[in-house]
This record gives sequence, C-alpha cells and structure tokens, in this order.
Amino acid sequence: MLPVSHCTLDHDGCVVCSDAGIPLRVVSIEGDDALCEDSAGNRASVALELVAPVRVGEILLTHGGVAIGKVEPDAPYLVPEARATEGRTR
Amino acid sequence: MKYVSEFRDAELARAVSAEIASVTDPERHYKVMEVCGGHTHTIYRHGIKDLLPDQIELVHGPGCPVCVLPMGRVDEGISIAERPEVIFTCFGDMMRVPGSKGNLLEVKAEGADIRMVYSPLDALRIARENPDREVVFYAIGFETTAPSTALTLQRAKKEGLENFSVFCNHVTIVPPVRALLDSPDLRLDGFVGPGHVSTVIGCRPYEFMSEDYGKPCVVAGFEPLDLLQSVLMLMRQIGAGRCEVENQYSRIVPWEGNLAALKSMAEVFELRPYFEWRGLGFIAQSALKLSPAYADFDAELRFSVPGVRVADPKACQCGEVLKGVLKPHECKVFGTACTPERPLGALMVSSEGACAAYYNFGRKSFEKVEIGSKV
Repeated sequence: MLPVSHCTLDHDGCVVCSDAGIPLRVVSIEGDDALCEDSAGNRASVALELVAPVRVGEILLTHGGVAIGKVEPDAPYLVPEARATEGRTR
Repeated sequence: MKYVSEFRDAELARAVSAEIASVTDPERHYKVMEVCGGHTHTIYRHGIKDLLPDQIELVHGPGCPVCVLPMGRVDEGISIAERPEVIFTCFGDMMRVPGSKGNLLEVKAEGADIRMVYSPLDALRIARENPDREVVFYAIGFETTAPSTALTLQRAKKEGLENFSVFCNHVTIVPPVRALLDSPDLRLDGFVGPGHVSTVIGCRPYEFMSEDYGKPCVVAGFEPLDLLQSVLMLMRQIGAGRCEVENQYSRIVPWEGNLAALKSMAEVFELRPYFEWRGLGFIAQSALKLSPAYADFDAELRFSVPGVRVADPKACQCGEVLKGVLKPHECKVFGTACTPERPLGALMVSSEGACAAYYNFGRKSFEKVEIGSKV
C-alpha cells in the first residue's frame, strides 16, 4: 500500500474538484512519461515534466494524468505526534 | 507512519479529538472555513464533525471549481460543443452541470460529439487521432489542475498541432478567499487551507490571511486525521493568540510550491481582468486565460464565444451556500427539488460540492437533529 491517501486511479472522487491528488509509484520511465501504479495495482501513464528528474520507485502526486508533486519520504508524519506536540510551522 | 491506516487510526482520532476539546473555550463559538471541496467531502464521509466540540462550526468554502462556475460559462461551452466540426472533451463531472438550456450530457444525447476525458493529455491524443476535426478541451479547475492544461498546451505547441484548442475556465484560489474575508456576511476565525492546490502554489500566498486580516490558516491533507490535526493546530493558534500560516501537509506540500509548474503556468496563462463566480459575483484577477503566446489555442478566440451572463434559477441558493452564509440543508430546495439525481445547482452536481456531500453523508444526521428539536 502506498502512503499519503486513499485515492486510487479508479476511485479519485472528482478530478475537476482540483484538489484530488493521487499518489502513484513510478514503475518505468520512457522520455517525458512514466508508467505508474496506484495502491490498488492500477497502472497509468503520467507526464513527468513538472517534477523532473524522477527515478523508478519514487512516489508522485498526480492529477489529471500529470505529476504535480513528489511525496517527501523524509518529511516527518505529524499525526502520531498530534497527541502532545505543537503543530510545526514551515 | 507512512501508511494510510495511520491517518485513519480510530484511537488516535479520539485522542486528537480530546485534545481539540481541551483547547476549546466552552464560552466561545469558533467559525472555521475549509476552503476546499475535497475537505468538505472528507468531513462528511468520515464523520469528522461528530468528533469536534459543538463550539466549532465548520463552514464550507468556495473550493470546488465546478460549483463556482457561472451558468453562462456552461452555456458557452455547450455552444462550442454543438458545432458539427468539434469534438468536445471535458472531465466527467462537467457533463452534468446544468446550463440554462440543459447540460452537456443532454447535448451529447442529441448528437454532439462530446467525450469524457480523464486528462487534458487524453484530449491531445484525440486531436492527434482526428486531424480533420477541431478538438476542444473544457479546462476547469484551480491551481491543481491548471498545470496539467499548461503542460498539455506546451506539448501541443511543440508538436504544432493546429486542430486543438482550450476553452479556459481555470480559476485561482486567493482572490475568492480575499473576497470572502472582505464580505460583511461572514465572520471567520480561521481557515483550513487546500492541500493539493498548495502543492503547486506553496504556502506563501496565504500569508495575506494572517498579515492583512489577522486570520490563521493551516494547509491540510485529506485523510481524517489530517483534518483533525489541522483543526487542532488552528485551535492552538487561536488559543495562544497566534496568527500564522502553518503546513500540516508537509509530506506533500513544499513551502515554496512547485516552481516548474508555476513556470509552466506563467508561460501559458495570464490573469483575466475579472471573472464571474457563482455566488461571489465578479472578482478581479481571479481567473486565467491563455497568454498571447498561446492565443492560437484559445477556443474563445477560435469560436467567438459571446460572453453571455445567465442568472441562476430563482430557487437555487448555491450562492449563499458558497459564501458560507447558509448550510446546504438550509437551502429551500435541498433534497427536494435539488438532488444529485436531478440537480438544480452545481453544488449538488459535483461529488465534491458541499450539497452533494451533505446529501450523501450527512442527511440522516440533520433529519435526526430536526426531529429531536421538534420534540
């Protein structure tokens, strides 16, 4: 299972809403496009120009067939700390 | 930490909920706006409202582009779609948004060549496959979607594709929020900021909320615990008298945004002097059109779109709901004349629309409240 969100390629709510981002893992790269896979195993081609350079295995946030962000693997996950700590700024 | 289950952990949710309650002043009423329709959806789908103290009122913002699109722009899209030489492409939810004389689905049933696409790049592929037809993409969305349109147009220009154009209805998130903050109708204590829009624009554009209006903002993710923690972060700010922009969704949102996406948008788009928003009226510099360098791909120029203004149906109160003045179930046609099956207003059409979220996930609880209140 991928981190970040429950969104998958076949269940992403409303793409038009503009805020549906789907996390996909890069399977292979060909030119400016990558074959990517979601947490349910669905695969799709995704345009990479806006997040290049990209490596196989990275997780991208995609929207409407275009990668718009990368999931930051080292970013601390805030939820477990939510019990006692202040929210971080920046 | 990195798995979905962590962001839906019931025990942790209860702990965060208790923490929110502990920092809430029982003598005070808090009004917090979630700007994004995706957040509204999460709140009702997962019952977040039930985990918050009664003192915290969540107000739903204008963050669904389908919902804020005025009827005149739907009619103009339909007028392009009806042209015999055109293959008209759009996202699925746009198909059911009512114009003054019907929706795209009905026009398609009457013979227009209208195709649902998942990505503007799919529209580009259709243009390549149909060189003797005019392929138009109905572009709509905030800054999350605009980069995909920009990238598609950059590819179209690079390929020299002459039969592809875009009917551009992209909007920007900051001007309507500023308009809401200027509105005398609404007194808000803070904002839950849109997560994926911020992937592109970053957090800096929200600094005006704290600096100019004294309102805290927390950019939030979309899982239940993301939202709960964002509310906690807001409540702590309010309680401590702080007023800052915070980033709860740092695993996705860089503070400075996606510079490549912003560069691509800057090349392809420019700001419109003004644009009409459903419920909010005309807002200056709140929408995008194609820049002169991409004018050849502008469907508004290619097909001479007339620019007609159409009033909403009288019974429809989408405008008041969009401004947060009315809750969806307080609209007089909610759940009766206006349902997801037969929507009068766009808020009931889009799956991220506040009315659809209320209807699908929250309706029963309102009925219980109403029954209880009559006894």
